[in-house]
Amino acid sequence: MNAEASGSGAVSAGDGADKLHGELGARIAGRGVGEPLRVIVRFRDPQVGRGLLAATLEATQVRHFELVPASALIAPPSLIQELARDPNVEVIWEDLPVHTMLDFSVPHIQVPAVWGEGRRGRGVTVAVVDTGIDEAHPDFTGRIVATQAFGSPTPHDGNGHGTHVASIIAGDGRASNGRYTGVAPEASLLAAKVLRDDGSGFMSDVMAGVEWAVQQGARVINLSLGSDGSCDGTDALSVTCDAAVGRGVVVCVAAGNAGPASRTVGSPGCARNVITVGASTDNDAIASFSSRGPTKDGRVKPDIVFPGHNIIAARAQGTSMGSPVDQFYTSASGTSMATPHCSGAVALILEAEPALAPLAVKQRLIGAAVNLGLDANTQGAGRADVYAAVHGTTPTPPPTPPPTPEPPPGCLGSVLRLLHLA
Amino acid sequence: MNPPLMDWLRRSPRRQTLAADLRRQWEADPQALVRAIVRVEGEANQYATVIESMGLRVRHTFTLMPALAVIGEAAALLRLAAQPWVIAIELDRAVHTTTDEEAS
Repeated sequence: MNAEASGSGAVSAGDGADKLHGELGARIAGRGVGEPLRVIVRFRDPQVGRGLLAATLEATQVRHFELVPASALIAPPSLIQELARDPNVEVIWEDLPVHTMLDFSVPHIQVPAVWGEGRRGRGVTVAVVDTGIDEAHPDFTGRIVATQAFGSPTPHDGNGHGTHVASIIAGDGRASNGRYTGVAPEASLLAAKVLRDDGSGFMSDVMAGVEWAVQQGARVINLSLGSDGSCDGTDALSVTCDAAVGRGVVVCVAAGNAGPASRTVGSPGCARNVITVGASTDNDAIASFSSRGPTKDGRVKPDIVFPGHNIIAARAQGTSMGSPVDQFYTSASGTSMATPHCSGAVALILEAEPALAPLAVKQRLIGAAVNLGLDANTQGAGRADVYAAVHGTTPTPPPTPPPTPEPPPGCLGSVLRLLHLA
Repeated sequence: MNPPLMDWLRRSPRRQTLAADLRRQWEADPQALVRAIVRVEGEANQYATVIESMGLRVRHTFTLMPALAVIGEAAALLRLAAQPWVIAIELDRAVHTTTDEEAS
């Protein structure tokens, strides 16, 4: 029984299995008899429900909610099945773990304020040069304008990385009721598959993908990829990326995940004119894995940092990249996830000012970044503030405080979202 | 690159189209199959045929930067490195996604 159906007042006359929401029934079947589960129970009459729980569970094992007639509890499968048979119980949800997600990272960099002004990336084309994009994913419906494969037989994303990256840039959250919406959800996408389904490839295929993107009219190119080892920006891929910038295209490149050691930015992150992106955490710390500068020839990198830790975004069908959360979404970390936040931000800036040159766009982001007070070769200019970058102003004061963790064992936010109350 | 500079590069005894360690590696194993990126003078596509005739396969021809991606035996690449229109040859190195597996 789902939440909507249970609201009809129908009472289960059977064993209550229809009250076990989603995968909970299967989860219970796969558990040992004594292995407890975290669940959230919604009652028809909360007072009766609380009395029922008080008779069977210790007070420390239960958390009651006021906004909805529900209680979170930890209980063995036998008790959960017993509760399901009780006519006062409407539905039982599994109390699923929560992750940082686009609905945290996108607001954290002040994107909704830009949306509030009517800018959502419309008219800007962003190329995702990666493992491909799942064209069937609902979050991209009608906005992938061209695909091309380099070094692979087809542009199909059999890895999932490119799809995840693309949705951070421009997913519209259609498969999640808008919960997992990317930074520029009305931007158009180009998909160049340059990495094989194992997530690796060759510099020359990336160069070919970059050239194709420029020929196709991309205004922004996202490169959530790189090679190992420090570099000085003179390698062929870095030179090609700088040449794309010279053609008027903003190129956003992942710094890499070889931190926290210094001199770990690989190619093409070491290219002079690209925007090299490091990864920050929810608390505006720098992710330990985020590669640090300087470059081999002593230049400061990364240029800026964006959120890149435990980001939930689109999951390509048939793939298991990251930690899947459901059929349509998966969680992943890396400068791969920080970089598309930057590409989406650039799309918003270019929608506002289409004539802005790539280096001016880069300067906008750098000038508007929130200085985290760390070494430049760790944070670049700091953590991005997209609203300030769009407006060419200083960052929005004060920096957003760290989020308050949701209290265990229940997740009220999860309940509210399931009930569409939040 | 401007013509006088190219001319200087051709005449210069220090002209180096190939890193010394790469040259040594290829000379030691001339039959090794190698992927490389070859930067050339002028438009890259004019050299595709001659490069193929040297026993190398051209995978891509680039325009943003005059270069070609090739694959073939190290010995053929050493011969290619001696051509006056070749500016530099470097390995076509591996790249990968930048997802942090441990954090996810």
